[in-house]
Amino acid sequence: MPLGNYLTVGAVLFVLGAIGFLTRRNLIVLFLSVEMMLQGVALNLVAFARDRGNLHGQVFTLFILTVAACEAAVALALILMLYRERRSLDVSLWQDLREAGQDGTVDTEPLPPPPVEVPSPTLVPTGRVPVRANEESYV
Amino acid sequence: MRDGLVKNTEQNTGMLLADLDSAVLHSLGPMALAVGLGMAALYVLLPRPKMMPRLLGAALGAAALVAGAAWLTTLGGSRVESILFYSFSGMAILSGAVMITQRIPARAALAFAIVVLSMCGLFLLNAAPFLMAGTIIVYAGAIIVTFLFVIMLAQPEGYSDADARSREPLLAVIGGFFLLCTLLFVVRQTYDTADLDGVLVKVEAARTQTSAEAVRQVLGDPKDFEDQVERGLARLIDRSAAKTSAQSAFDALVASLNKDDINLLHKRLDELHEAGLQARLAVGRLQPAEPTKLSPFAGTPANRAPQPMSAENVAGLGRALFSDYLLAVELGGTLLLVATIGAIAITHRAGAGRRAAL
Repeated sequence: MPLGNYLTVGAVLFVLGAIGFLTRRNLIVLFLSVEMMLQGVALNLVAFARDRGNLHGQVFTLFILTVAACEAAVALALILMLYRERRSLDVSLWQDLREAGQDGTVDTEPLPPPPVEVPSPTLVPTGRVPVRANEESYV
Repeated sequence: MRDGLVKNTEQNTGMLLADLDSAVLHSLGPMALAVGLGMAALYVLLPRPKMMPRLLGAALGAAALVAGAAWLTTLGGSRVESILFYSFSGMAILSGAVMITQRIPARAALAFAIVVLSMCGLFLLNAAPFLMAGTIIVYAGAIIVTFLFVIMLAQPEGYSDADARSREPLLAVIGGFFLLCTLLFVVRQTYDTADLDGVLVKVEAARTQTSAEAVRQVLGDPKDFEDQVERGLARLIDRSAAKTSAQSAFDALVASLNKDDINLLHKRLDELHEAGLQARLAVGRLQPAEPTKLSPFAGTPANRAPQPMSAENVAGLGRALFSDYLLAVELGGTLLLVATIGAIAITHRAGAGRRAAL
């Protein structure tokens, strides 16, 4: 398989992650998109390592793995703290941090009403309550 | 000096534009079609309060995947490798698209797990078994599980703003289209082997001929053949082993073309075929200058011809990590320690003994 094919797949994953990062408003999905960008880069590095016949690309990918793990720990801790403040994972709630002079995001379309949960039918209990023998254990 | 520089730049730009010959420009059309279909699928599928029909998005996405697979070159590599490559890549891209368009974050995390598993398959195809195992253990086994825990702890009630809306889907998709087209065009431009493949096909056809006249006929106009060989070798580094051996094989073939010795011609054609195959592998490769001293501990240094990778992947990684990258390993360990302490410190709340109710 020529090298260009693997680089193509890496580029596609990277751009998918970039689009997800720019578009979504849920903090968790935002961070998952960042991780997908890292996966695309890792594939690039491993493909180059195979093309060259040495392991430098794979060593670099190991370090990417390490740094991604650290980043995930710290980022998830921050996400938990942000959730504690506002009780929501929406990134638009923190719009005050945006650049001066930028318009904030205003939601114009209303959300559809949540689907009504039909409760499961319950039966009125009838009949006598059965008498249980007084056993030591029911196991 | 300044005039010379300006003239040189104009000359170089002229040469670059002439390089964009019709063969590469022809590949732009199918690529833009595949990327455009994919971006249209993403635009349809990105979450909105009132969504477009998902079936349309799925159909556009499937069409994009098929168009993309048709655009990739399939020369080189065995059939098993091709099947595995296409299935793993298709699964990875599909799950990636599912991940960024899912409304429910838990499903997005599971789609990301499938992305990681597909990438591990691709790592295995690239002779990285330790990375495959390590990625599954660390990414799919630790990072994604942590994500799922956080999703469980930080669940908003009901249908939330965060999940059902996207920011600027149209602009993001348009920007993504241009970015991806640029990246793919650069990859294709650098690693394109169409000219060399044409040369190799001609050489193989000439090899089967039995008379010198037939060989000359198959090879066609010598000037055109020479142009094709030059275009094919243009993307190799000057004075590298692959380019010089291919050029000398071609010169030897040209020298023997006018003689009528068919055995000699066959020998020269074989040499050119061999050199052409080696050159094909080296297209687009950048490497440091030959005399640079590079470390031999991680496999072939970058300025030598690449040898196949050793099957002892873990031993090789260990040798590379603890000789070339020792400082980085120590720093990585420190980073992990600091990150662990930092994550605990960020979420720690004063008042031990009180349950950390969120």
